[in-house]
Amino acid sequence: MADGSETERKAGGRANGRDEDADFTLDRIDEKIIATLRQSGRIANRDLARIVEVNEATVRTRLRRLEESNTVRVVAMRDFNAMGFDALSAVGVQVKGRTAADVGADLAKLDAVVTVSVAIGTYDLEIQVIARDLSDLDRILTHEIAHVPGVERLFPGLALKVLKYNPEWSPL
Amino acid sequence: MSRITLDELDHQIIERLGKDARVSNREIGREFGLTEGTIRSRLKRLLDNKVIRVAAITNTKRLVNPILAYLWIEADTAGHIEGLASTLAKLPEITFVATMLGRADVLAMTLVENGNQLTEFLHQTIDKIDGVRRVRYSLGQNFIKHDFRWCALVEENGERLVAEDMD
Repeated sequence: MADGSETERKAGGRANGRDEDADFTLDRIDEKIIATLRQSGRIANRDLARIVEVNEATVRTRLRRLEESNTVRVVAMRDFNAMGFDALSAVGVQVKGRTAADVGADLAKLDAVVTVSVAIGTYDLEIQVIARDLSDLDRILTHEIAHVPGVERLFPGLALKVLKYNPEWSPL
Repeated sequence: MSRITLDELDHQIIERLGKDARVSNREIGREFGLTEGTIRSRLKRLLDNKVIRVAAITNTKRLVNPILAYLWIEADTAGHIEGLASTLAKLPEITFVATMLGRADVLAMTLVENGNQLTEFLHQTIDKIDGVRRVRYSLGQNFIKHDFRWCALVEENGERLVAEDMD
C-alpha cells in the first residue's frame, strides 16, 4: 500500500545523486524526512535533523532536492468544515457523447469539484464536491454540473460524517 | 460545532501556505508588511483551532501505477456502521472514510498500485473487519483533478499533530 516504503521499488536513478532529476531514488533519510513532514509540516529544520538523525545541512539539502524534483510539497491543507463547507458529496457521473476525460476536464474547472478521476466501475467518472450547505450542493449539482456537456446522469452520495480525510498523495 | 471567525489576513495566510508551507514566519511577514510575531500568533490560532494542518504531500508520479480505489461498503446491520467506519479510519492505508447517505453505508478510499494489491487488501484486511457485509469498488485511474488543499481535521482518529512550529 501507499505507506511511504513503496518508493524504494522504483528502479533507476542514484541513491545519492546530487542532481535534481525526478528519477532519483529515495533512500531511508528521504523517507524519514517525508514521514516526519506528514505529521508536522512546520517542524523546524533543526528538530527535523534531530528526528532523522542527520545534521541540519543534510536536511536542508534533502528538502531542497525533494521540493525541486517535485517529489514532495509541504502545504497547508484546509479543513473544509472550518472553512465553512458543511456538505461533502461523492458523485458518480455517467457520460454520453463525449469522452470521460473531456467531461472530467470541464468538471475539474469548477472550484466546488475537489477531485475528478476517470473510473473503472459502475460510472465513468468519480468526483467529490464540496458545498456550503444542501441548497448550495443542489445549485452545484443541478445547475452547474448537470449542464456540463456530456454529463448524462449523476449518482450522488452525501457524506454523513467524515471520519478521515487525510490526503498524503496527490498529482503535483 | 465551534468555529472560529476568519478574517482577510487569515485567508491570505492560508492561501500563502497552500502553495509552500515551509516558508518562515519572517518571510510571510515581510511579504505582507507585518511582523513575524503577528504571523506566528495568527498561524498558531489557525493550527490550534484545526482550521488548517501543514503536512507533506508526495507526488503520485512516485508510484508505479497509482489507482485510487473507492470502496463502497455495506454493513451487516445499521448498528455496525459506526464501529466499522472507525475501524477503517484507523488503517494507515485508508486516506478517506465517511459514513454515507446513499450509494453505500460507508465510503473508504485507498491508493494502490495494481489489482493484486487491491485484492489482497480487500481479502486480508477489509473482509475481516467486523460488520462488513459486502464491498463494491470503483477504481479511479486517471486523476484529472486532485485538490490536495482540502482535508478534514478529525480529533478522535487522527494522530495528534506535533504542535511545535519553526521560526
